[in-house]
Amino acid sequence: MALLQIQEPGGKQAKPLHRRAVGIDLGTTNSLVSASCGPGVETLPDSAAQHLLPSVVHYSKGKPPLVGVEAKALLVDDPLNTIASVKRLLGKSLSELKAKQDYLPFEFDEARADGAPAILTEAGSKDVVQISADILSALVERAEASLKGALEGAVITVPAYFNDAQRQQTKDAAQLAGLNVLRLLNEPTAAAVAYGLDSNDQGNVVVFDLGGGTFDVSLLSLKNGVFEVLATGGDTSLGGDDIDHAIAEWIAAQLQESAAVAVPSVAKLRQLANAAKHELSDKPQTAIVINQFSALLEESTLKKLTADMIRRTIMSCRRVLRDAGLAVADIDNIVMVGGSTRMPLVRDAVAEFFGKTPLTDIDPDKVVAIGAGIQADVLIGNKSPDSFLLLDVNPLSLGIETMGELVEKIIPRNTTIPVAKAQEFTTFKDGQTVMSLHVVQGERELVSDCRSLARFELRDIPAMVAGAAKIRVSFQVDADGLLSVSAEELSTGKKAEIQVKPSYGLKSSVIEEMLQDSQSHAKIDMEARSIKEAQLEATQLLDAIANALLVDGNLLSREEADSLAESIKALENTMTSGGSVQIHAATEELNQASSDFAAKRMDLHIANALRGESIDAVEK
Amino acid sequence: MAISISSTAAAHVAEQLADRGHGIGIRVGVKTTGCSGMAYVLEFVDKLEVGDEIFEEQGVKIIVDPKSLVYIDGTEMDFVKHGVNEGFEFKNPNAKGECGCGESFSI
Amino acid sequence: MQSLIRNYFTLFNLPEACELDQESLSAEYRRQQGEVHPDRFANAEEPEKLRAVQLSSYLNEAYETLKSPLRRAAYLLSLRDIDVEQVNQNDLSMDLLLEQIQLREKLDELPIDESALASLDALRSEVNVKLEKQEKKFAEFFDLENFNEAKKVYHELQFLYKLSAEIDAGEEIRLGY
Repeated sequence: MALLQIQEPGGKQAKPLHRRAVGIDLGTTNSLVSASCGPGVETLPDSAAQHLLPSVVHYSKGKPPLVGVEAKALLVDDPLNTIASVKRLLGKSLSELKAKQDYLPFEFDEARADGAPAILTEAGSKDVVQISADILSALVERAEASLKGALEGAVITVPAYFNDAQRQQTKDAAQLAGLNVLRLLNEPTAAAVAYGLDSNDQGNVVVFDLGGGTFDVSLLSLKNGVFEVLATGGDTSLGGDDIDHAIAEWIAAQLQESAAVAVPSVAKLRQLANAAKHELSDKPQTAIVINQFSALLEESTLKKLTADMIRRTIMSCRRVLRDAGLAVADIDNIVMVGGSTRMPLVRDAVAEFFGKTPLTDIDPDKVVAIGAGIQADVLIGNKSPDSFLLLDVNPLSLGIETMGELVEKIIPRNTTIPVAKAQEFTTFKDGQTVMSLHVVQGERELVSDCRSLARFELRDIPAMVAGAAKIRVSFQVDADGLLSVSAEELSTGKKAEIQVKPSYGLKSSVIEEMLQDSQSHAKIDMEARSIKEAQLEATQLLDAIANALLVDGNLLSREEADSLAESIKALENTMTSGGSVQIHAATEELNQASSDFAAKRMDLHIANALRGESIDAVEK
Repeated sequence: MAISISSTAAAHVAEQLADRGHGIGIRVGVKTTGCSGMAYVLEFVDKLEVGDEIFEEQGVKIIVDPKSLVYIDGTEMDFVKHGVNEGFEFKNPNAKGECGCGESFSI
Repeated sequence: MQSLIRNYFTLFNLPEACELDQESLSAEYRRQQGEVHPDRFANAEEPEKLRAVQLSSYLNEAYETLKSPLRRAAYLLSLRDIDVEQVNQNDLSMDLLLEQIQLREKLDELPIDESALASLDALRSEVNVKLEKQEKKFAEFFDLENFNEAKKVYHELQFLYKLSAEIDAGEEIRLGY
């Protein structure tokens, strides 16, 4: 039966119950949970008044997992059973992780059938979804204690550049932790939400998110309570860690110059560098002291050390502006997210580029979680539905493999989601009854450089000549950014469909590098694509001539046959070694060389047709 | 003649009464409506009506008007969660059929 | 879903014309997204959620089509039963092709480093001026219901937009992405 709520006397609607919904920032280093408490949304502290939960999990035999500060304390003593930065492993296959140079101190479970990475711990084999779920469970526990009751829904944030596999695994982890996922929300969008509602602004907002290891920038437009993400971009290997690294190298160089003391360990240098960086947030200079050695690090030196990194962040801003077709003057607000935006040098550079002081009122570590909490409150129904709406975009292009290992983009990046797009394809060979579809994600032109998302087949296509069948491939991306693909043969209505789930064990470049890759390789791609296309054209011509020779070879004189064979050989040789121009030329030559043969065949077939035989019959 | 209430339901009633800040208890009754005849009434009570019966269960006052009492005698009130929905549920030994929506019942 | 197949201009309460008030389009788009977006149905039953995804996707497609001048032009022609996918070689004048080749050569000859950024900006402005001119021309022909000429201008616009995208790609390479 339907569930009843207590009404006001006389049937008046009682004040609706406040439903418990939270926002979760599931971070690489730290995670946070937020909920509406009284007038606004706040992050929830643990019993020790700590808001940040270190995203570290420790497993031991026969005990529930330890999450947070206690687990972090065991990182050095028990590295095999203590897992940090699991977010970096999401959506990856075991082989991809192993191919990466980064040293991971874990023992992976080789016995897993699906190729998904799982770590062997004292408490058994734990995959990345399980580990993420354990972090989420700790946050849920904290929230339920604080809100005095079971949670009814959660909004979980993900980086804007997260691909389909990473989003899907984040959602799976939340479901494993017993959460009802109201929405996966892009982190920069969440940050803008946190500011947008407080200040009730209209206009264009840039979200500048410089974390420990990644940099994200997004451009949103806010109008009449509707957020629209106009463009996103960034640099997945740029963050505060790089700044620490640059300072550490400078310290090492100073030490070597003075030769007074030995250079300490890398870890020690990093620690000193990090401390110096924090000092310089408030002071113009700081002294670095190691035993008898002392060096003065001034803001001007730090500026030089970080100039290149800061320049790269500004270049990303420029690019996002261009993607959205806006100029610097069109930007009304800049929101700062991530601990590294506390650095005055970063703030100054951003202020200089945009000609405006960026917003820093909300703690840059908490702003994403707060935005997620606000969105959760709206989605669960605590806030009036008119209050605001978020329109998000897909961060990476989605496409399908076509002949010659080329990618045909179906949904370009920065398209507002949800989105549905369809494109028609056709068969490549005569009598082809099966079409295999390979769905990929990424910006590059060649399949091998993009992320493979899924493969499936459309069967029972009626046998027709090449190019006659019409197959419509439809892509649908939902509001969480998750993709489903269907293919339909239009004459028969035969359909095949797939919900894209993470696929493992496929050779592909590492996802974080993909966005950057696509740009630096644009030039090479163009030529690679041209070669592929030329090869394809050549193959089709060679196939056609080979078929024709089989059927009507007797039409040629010996000399004619020899000369044609020579041109064929020339094209075959050029195809494997030449550039696109040479292949085109050789193809054209063969075309010319075979034109007499083609004319003879045509004459013969027309003559046959006139005699009452169908061309089809002759072809057989 | 009696109406019973589960401890979970009682706790929720008490909490909502406290949130509301005033009220004697809750009224449980029936009214004629819906596809199969009658629907439950569940509301806060600020003032008693003539003839109201009062049951005190688990520290909660449940108020029923005499006409309704005939139909809902022996009913058990519970508080349950179905997915993301939560609310009160009635188990009525007198009900013979429920409509699809569950808000009405016939006797 | 049949009810969805409507004229995009009607959908946004706009006159069916080349000139378009971007502000009205965007305001009406936001208003309608506010009603159909899946976020409004986060707690609804599965069929309702699915319908929200479909309606919202449809709205996005309509909006993107009208927002872009090039896509809008193609859409307007398609409403007059003119297939812009069918390109007739004679539709493209020699002058146009030569001009395109020259512009492309200019782009290819630029040095592959940041020193080319100013030249890229100049080239972009040059293309933008041409784009604006051709967009006006398209509107003129279209309003005169001379759809054959309008289609020719559309193909010129296609060239210019393609070139514009290549200038952008060239800038990305030089910005070190």
